[in-house]
Amino acid sequence: MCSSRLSSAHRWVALSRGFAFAVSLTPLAAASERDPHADLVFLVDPDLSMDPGVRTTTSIARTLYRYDDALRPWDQDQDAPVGIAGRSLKVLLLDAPLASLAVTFSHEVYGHGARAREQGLSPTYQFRLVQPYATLFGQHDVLVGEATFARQGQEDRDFALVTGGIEADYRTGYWLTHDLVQHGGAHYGDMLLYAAARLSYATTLLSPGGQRQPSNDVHNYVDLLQTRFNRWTQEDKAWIESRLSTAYVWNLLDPTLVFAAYAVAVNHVVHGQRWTHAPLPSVGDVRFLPWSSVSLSPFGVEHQLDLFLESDGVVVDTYGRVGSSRLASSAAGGLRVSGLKPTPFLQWGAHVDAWSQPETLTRERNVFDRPQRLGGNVGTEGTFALSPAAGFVLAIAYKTRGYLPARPADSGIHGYAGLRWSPP
Amino acid sequence: MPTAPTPHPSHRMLALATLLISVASLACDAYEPPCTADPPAWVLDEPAPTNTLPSAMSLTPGDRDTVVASWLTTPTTDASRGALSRQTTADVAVISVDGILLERYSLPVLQGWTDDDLPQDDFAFCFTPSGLILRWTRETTVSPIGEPPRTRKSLWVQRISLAGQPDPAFAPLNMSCVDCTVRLASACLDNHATVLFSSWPNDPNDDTSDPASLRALSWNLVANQTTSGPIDWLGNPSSRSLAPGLVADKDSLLLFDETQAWAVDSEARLRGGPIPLPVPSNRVVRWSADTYESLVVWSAAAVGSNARHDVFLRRFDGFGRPTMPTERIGESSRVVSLAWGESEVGVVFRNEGTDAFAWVDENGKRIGGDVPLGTAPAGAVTLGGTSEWLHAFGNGRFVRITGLPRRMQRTEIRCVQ
Repeated sequence: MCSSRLSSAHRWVALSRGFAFAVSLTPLAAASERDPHADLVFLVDPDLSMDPGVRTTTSIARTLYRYDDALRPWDQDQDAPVGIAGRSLKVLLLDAPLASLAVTFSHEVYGHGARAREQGLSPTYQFRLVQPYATLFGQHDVLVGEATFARQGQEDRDFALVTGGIEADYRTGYWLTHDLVQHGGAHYGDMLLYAAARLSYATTLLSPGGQRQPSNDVHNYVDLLQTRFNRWTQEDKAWIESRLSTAYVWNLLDPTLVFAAYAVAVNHVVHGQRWTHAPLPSVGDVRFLPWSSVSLSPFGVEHQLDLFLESDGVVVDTYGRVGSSRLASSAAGGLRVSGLKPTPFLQWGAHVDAWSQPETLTRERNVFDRPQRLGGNVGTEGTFALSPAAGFVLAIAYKTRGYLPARPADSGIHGYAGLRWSPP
Repeated sequence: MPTAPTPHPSHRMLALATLLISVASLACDAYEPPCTADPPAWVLDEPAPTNTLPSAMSLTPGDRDTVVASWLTTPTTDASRGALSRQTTADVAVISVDGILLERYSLPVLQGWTDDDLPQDDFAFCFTPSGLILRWTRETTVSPIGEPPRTRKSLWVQRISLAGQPDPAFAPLNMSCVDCTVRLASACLDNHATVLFSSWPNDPNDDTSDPASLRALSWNLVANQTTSGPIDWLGNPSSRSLAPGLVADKDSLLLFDETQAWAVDSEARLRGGPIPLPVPSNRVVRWSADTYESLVVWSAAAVGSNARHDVFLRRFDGFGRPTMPTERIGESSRVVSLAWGESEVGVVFRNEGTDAFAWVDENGKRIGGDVPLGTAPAGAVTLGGTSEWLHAFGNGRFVRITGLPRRMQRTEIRCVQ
């Protein structure tokens, strides 16, 4: 079933030659017998919460990227300079703005917005032109999108509100990686989405002490860390910023980012391919992908390392996460299994997360020293087949109170329902 | 031979995870707030008389762990807003910190005055166990007819007994000036009244005006003796902003300007200081005569932020030298009250009309989070004056007294580490 793919060694050699030489490379994989389509999922829950929201937004964006199929008849001479120029323009004027719009929408509505709704607030949104149209039409606002809500003045609630946007971006990146591993490749649109999501606020995160007008989510995050841990002096602030920027580098040590750059710039723009098979290393029938990411937790930056394993469509993701801020001690780990097919009409998955972290307090203010708490989250997701291509999705989970990216802060049952569609 | 069906491995994993999470959740102690506040209890709750206007609300510490609430009541039919009339009364309620109303007075203070001669300028009063002490300034013309007008401003004081009988008003010696501007500050502590008389020339270039000066009047009400004289250890003021203020602390008086405070006795003799004040307003100072130390709590813009205000705390020795680094103890734009016990500090601060209490150890470290105290008493902000007092009993027990004219509440706060 993997006959069109190169061996692992060749793939890594090819990747290691780097982006600078990428344009001269032979495409890693031309369109195969079956392109690695990811499923589309449209999920809702009563709170329009983050995890189903970002997955739905990604699916809507994937649907919109299918406009590109209509251009194929005019894009046959794939390596010709005119084709490269045309695709470059297309990426610049359509594809990249669409990725930016989708990620911004998800960031505001299912990031900040979801966290605000979780707290009983009613956020409002404002969206502006994305690049390059903002420049073309003389719109010089720095912010492409903005969610407006009343900050609660309670540290843990404010953390969720402030970091919710970046949290949604990284969750988008997580699911795109998950789908990449599950299907062995991705559409170039997915990779544009991935880059936009994973590089969210990258410049500020690398230099949080720089220009602060207007202040953005990262600046507000630093302010909240100062407040939460009572590190109020300029020296404390500089120290927190320094640790934040150093820790963020972990987010960039991401092979999927390199793959995304290759899939868009080389395989699509230069060689005209819509789909790129991922050069995943394998052991036997099991392909795997290590994936690094960070999360802006209420205890400072946490470093996460996922190991995705895939075999015959079943994905097992095991991860560990540990904080490096020295403001507090936090660590977490978990496991997600997806794509199991115990019966022909059921696709099933489950996940479990556990953590040790300072207690989350959603009512108290200015509690600087808190007891360490263990907590966890356990849940399951099933897709019940309605037809060969469509299914009904139902997910339910129970979580104790505490910080877990993209999941509600409070304890209780959470879940969502929706539809899954496997495009041809 | 038939075998029992074995559960799917993922089912086992889920069951184990659920068990682990449940055990972990139960095994860990949750955060318990160290402090709790009782619901406020009424100490005084009198119906407001119709058509009256209260003003000059003040809450000050009294002797023997009492708090003195005082205010003026003026019929609105007799006076325009803010002015006094012959029907103005001074109301006083003395309550113990245990919440018992000990004494209640409603004394006419301006009976016998003519409408044209009411003491409107710099009028204020304070309570002592020996009676109410009134003070004001009066301006008289000292230049002969036909010459350029020159005026003299004089301090006047008067005692009203607790039975409502006024002693004759008098102008103490040396407490006046010619062609000058005056600012008075006064406070009562035990059976003494102290008045600061700050003056400076209206025209600095007019050599015929009296020069700037700062003098103090001390009135021993038991012995009925007054002493007055310049405050030599402090420079003379040259403007209103530089004229010192005076407040009564628990066992001493605190004299302060915009940048410094001093502990003084009733004759304005220096006991301690100068205590540096980081901000010109929105700060509370306490002086301990026992340990010869002072404590300052203030609100200021957070470091690197104009939008947020933080609350800071610092302790100083008797000479105003810091004995600990500045500690941030919370986030608020207004410090309302401060109590300093043996090894603990209680602070009440206000955020957007909502009050909270903070418990702090002797090193300025917060213990627990904010203790919600509910919304600030209506009108507490607009009436001016000090409208609450926080008392530390020790061992984590605090009492907050909030006062509005005719309405006083007591809130007990208990903290256990």
